[in-house]
Amino acid sequence: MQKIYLDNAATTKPNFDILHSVCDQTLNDGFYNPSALYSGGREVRKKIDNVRKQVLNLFSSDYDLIFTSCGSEADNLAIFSFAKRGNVITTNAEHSAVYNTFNQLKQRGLDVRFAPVNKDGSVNEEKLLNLVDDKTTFVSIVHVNNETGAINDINRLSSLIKQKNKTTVFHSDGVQGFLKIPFKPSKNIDLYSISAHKICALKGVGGLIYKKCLHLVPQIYGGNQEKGFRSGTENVFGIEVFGKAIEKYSNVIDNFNNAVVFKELFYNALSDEVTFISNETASPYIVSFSVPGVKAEILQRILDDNGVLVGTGSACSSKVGTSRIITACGLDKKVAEGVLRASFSFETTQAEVVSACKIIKDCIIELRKKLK
Amino acid sequence: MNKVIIIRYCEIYLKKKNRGYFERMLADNVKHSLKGISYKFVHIPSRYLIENFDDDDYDEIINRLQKVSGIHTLSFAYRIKSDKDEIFKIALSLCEGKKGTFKVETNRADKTFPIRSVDFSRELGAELLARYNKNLSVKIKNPDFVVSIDIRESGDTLVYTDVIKCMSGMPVGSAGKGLLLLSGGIDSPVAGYYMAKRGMRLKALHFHSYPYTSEAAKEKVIELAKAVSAYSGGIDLYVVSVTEIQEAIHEKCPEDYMITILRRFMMRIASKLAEQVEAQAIITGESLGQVASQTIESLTTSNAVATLPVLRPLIAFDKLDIIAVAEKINTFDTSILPYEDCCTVFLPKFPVIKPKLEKVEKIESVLDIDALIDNAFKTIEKISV
Repeated sequence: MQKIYLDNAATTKPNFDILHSVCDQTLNDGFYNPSALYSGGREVRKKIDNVRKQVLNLFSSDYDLIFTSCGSEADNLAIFSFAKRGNVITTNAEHSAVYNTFNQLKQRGLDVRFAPVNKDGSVNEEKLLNLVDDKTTFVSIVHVNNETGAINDINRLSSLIKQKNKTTVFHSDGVQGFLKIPFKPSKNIDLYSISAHKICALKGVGGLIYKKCLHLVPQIYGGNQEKGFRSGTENVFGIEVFGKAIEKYSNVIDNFNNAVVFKELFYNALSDEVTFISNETASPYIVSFSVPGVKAEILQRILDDNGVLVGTGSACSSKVGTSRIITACGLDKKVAEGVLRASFSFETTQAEVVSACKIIKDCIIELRKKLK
Repeated sequence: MNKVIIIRYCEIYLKKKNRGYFERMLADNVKHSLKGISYKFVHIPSRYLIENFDDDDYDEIINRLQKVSGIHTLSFAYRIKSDKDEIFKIALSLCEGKKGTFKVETNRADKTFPIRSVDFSRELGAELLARYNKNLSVKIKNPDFVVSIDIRESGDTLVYTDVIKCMSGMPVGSAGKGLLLLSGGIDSPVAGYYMAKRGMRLKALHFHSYPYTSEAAKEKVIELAKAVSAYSGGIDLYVVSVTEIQEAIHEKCPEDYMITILRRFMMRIASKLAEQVEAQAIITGESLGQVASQTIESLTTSNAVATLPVLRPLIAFDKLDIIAVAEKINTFDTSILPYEDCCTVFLPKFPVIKPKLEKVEKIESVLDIDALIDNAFKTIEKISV
């Protein structure tokens, strides 16, 4: 049975044609070390730099990009470079790559502040700004919440923060937003993390987009690759696949509108059965919903058996408790335990979404009967 | 000079005419546990020796032998010619670097050896004191360590200082075969360990409720079965789905009787499987009063449908004592992994604590018990760990 994959916020299926074409090139003349000085090496270096340019085309000329191994590494590089003194602020609903890194800073004695979030997972603007003062050196706010899809208006937030303290460095984890949300970063965004495998490219490639005027502090030392900010031979194959994916899926608005249709299909098909966590302003790529009274992981397994793969918004074992992010949203426990996440990629089709909605609906009705 | 590991047994000594049967079984289990390691197995009166092993394998050999039931203690020893100078030399080298109190114990099985045991101990003790007087002093009662000199009839002597405690008990296989109900919690692996220790060969049965429980819960039970199998010389794990049974109970019986009735189904399935795999008993990790299903009334209710003896080695254990053993046998960390076992999804808020057998029988009479058990058996899966 060909399963319908709707857990694209976790990872996407790499595009086969892209993989194939890059694979051919790599096997022929693209395998050299990009730091090698002979012509083959220089050619590989050029390819990497071309992908860098492709990414940076989406930003202004004030920015540069460091390739990393993943989004988490990019987040760590940003945080450990600038969150050093005074107080630093993030939200309660950040991805673990940011949240746990801030907790690490807290353990080291730094004044770490967590801003609460609204029911949809977006940061509470007023409370966030109340935390900012003249000693705030660093703020990190996720662009798109990975569990609820809530979009934070990071241009606005960074501007408001800098109005209170213009020296604050502003970072955003853009892993779920990059190439998915129509977005032109304002000059107040200092750092932005991205990841390749969320856009039909491969795992093993991430990146930190940073203002050229900022000086990063390397977390990995070695051969001074990536301008000395991230040593280690670059993942050439992964970066090239990333570049091809950016090229292929560059029509952000069309893709966005497709996802809006998918999201509406979900809302129309399932409104009677589920409580939607994601609201109408959330990323259309992520539909977070709950079946109150039904533990998410049970429904997830039933859907898996019936050919639909979705994510759990929460690790819902009673012994683990509900997900940190869903809990931060302040949802009722019964709702929080039942949170599932359907997420779309550029390759998701309308037929898949329609079928999935029917299967999800049937499974919920069937399960409800058994648990009555 | 030969480095050896001495294997001593304990309770087997109490056996009379059939002692050889137990000794052979223990020897076989020792050899089975050391599979893949190069060594020579030597049987000397009342003991075994492991010889000719690679020094690098020493820790692994000790580790494996500590999990063989029937072995009381182990010692690393030097096997040398029964010669006074030689024995002194080795004893001195073994005590080098040691600190604290000691005594020398000599056992002279070879009566042709010219020095009496008491004299030999005294002379060697004096020599050790003279050499290491800064670090060592003599203490006859409860010393920190004993320098043991075992002068054997065969003309060789074993010299050792340390004694490593092992499982004791009886060799696995000497006390029949039991079917362990392995839930994924803390208690049942410990119950399996204790029965293996008493010589019982184990099969295990796990009940799952997919999709209400996860594959991860099953993986966890496989890990636990592996851990117990290190003590029981292998385990066949049987996995049976009780999903349909739970759904049927949920649909047709009062909520507070869910666990009582489910456990009776488990006992029926266990009895039937035990007969099929020729197990002579069912083993559970139940401990009196620990939870609602382990009150004497609940145990009586589930016991009533068992067709074989139900062994409950932990019945009088406190939870903390069980946890201490689970930590010792390395099952605790796996047991507390947060995967729900088959009971929790349909767990009633207030389970019946003192069920009455007649009432339970009446309640469950609405269920087609035989058909549900037959269907459960269709889901059986055997996993060798």
